[in-house]
Amino acid sequence: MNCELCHKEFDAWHKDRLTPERRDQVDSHIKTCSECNEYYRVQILIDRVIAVEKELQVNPYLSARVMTEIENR
Amino acid sequence: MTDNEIISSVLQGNPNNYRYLVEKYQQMVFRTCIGFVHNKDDADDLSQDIFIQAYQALPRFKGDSAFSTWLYRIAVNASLNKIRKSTLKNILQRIENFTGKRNEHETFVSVSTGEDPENMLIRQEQIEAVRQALDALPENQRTAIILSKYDDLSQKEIAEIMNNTEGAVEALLQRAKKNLRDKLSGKRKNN
Repeated sequence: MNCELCHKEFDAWHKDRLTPERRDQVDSHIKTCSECNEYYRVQILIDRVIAVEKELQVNPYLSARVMTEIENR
Repeated sequence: MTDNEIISSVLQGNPNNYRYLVEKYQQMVFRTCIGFVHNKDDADDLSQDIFIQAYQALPRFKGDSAFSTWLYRIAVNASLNKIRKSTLKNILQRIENFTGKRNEHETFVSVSTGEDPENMLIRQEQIEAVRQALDALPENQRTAIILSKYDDLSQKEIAEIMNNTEGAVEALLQRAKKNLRDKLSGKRKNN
């Protein structure tokens, strides 16, 4: 496992889509490589912050507001 | 009814049918907007503007791409225009806040070898640091990362929206991730 491959595997690792063998390889690498450990921590942080924003729901009256605006034009 | 059938119906004098398109795509548009503005009220207002813009532009929709792709393009352009119009005062204030808290952020995000990344906790300062790092990306990187992370689109779909190649989008995403890592770990490398 090298750093470039480790970076590319992040999404699959985070979504638990790696084979057990590959996951072990990634886990071993990020335990010993400070740069990749940091890369994974930052990517996880970004994904968690985005996940919070993605939970927000659009205003339930949006379509009514849009249609009213269109009718008034 | 398909999207194209709804569009035909609207253009043939049934504007009320536009409501079906709004209801189908409102969460998609809102999610893109929230990626750019990080504020629910602003994202709601921006989403409303985008659907009105799309309605007005509907006669020019040729069906060369899916309606959703066309709508994404309008949403991205409107979002970029919105953030460009932010006042200079607001931008300066955010930069000041970001640089003023940089050491604090570094403490939260920096790692020691052997730590388990999955066990990190999020703090409010980290949330703000991530938002500011996203906002500081060049527009094309920011657009690509928002469409990827907020909208879960494939590189192929992003390439179509951005009128670019898949290879170019892959490169944009890689540069964006590197820039985010550099910014959030306190490094000074850019672009």
